[in-house]
Amino acid sequence: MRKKEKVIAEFKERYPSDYNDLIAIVYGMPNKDLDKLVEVVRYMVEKEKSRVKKSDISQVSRLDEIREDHYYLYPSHAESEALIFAGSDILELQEFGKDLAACAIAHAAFISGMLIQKYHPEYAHKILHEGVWDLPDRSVDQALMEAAVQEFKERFHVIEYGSEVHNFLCELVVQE
Amino acid sequence: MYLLDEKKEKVISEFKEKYPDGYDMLVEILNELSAADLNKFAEVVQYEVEREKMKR
Repeated sequence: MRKKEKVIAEFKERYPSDYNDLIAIVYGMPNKDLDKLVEVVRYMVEKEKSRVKKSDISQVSRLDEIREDHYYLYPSHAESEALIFAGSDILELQEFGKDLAACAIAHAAFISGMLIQKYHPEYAHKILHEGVWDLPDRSVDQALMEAAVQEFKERFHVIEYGSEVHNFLCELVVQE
Repeated sequence: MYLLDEKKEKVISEFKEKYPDGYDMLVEILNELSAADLNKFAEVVQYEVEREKMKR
C-alpha cells in the first residue's frame, strides 16, 4: 500500500466518524477552496498543539511513566550509562518536542533536571530560579551537561507555574 | 512572528465565515484527536484533498 493510502487507512480505522466528517467537508467544497482547507487545517492544528501543550503537562499520571522510563538515572546505576541514555533521550525528545507533544516538555525537563541534579546539585537551585549557568570544569561531559541545562531551561519555563508538574520538578531539582 | 500569526488567524476566520459548518466540524475533530495524532490529521486532509482534486 502506498504511504498516503496507508496514512489515510490508519486514520480512518482509528477515527471512523471524524474521517467521515472530513470527507463530507471535502466533498462539499469547490475546487478553488480545497487548498485553503489544507492551509486552514494546518494552522488550526498548530493552534491546537500549542493549546494542548499547557493542558497535558498538568497530567501528573504521565510522571509515573516518566519515572519508570528513566529508572536508569537513579544513583544505583552506572553513571556513564545514565549519561549516555539521558543524552540520547534529550536529542530524541527535541525531535519529539517539535511535534509539540505536550508530555515531551515535562519529560525533557525531567531528564535534564535529573542530570543536573545528579551531577551538579549545588547549582540546581540557581539554574532553576535565576537561569544563570556557568559550568565549572568537571569530569562529566561538558557539552552534554550544557545541552542538558539548555534543554531544561527551554522546557521548564513553559511549564505552568504552580502546576503539579512544576512542583514536582522543583522538588526534584532543588536541594538547599 | 506576530504578522505571521495574524495572517494565520485571518485565513482561519475567513474560512470560518465562508464554511461555518465545516469549521465547526474541524474544531470538533481536532478536540477529539490526541496530541500525537494532530499532525497525522493534517496529513490526511492534504492527501484527501489531493485525491479529491484528481477525481474531479
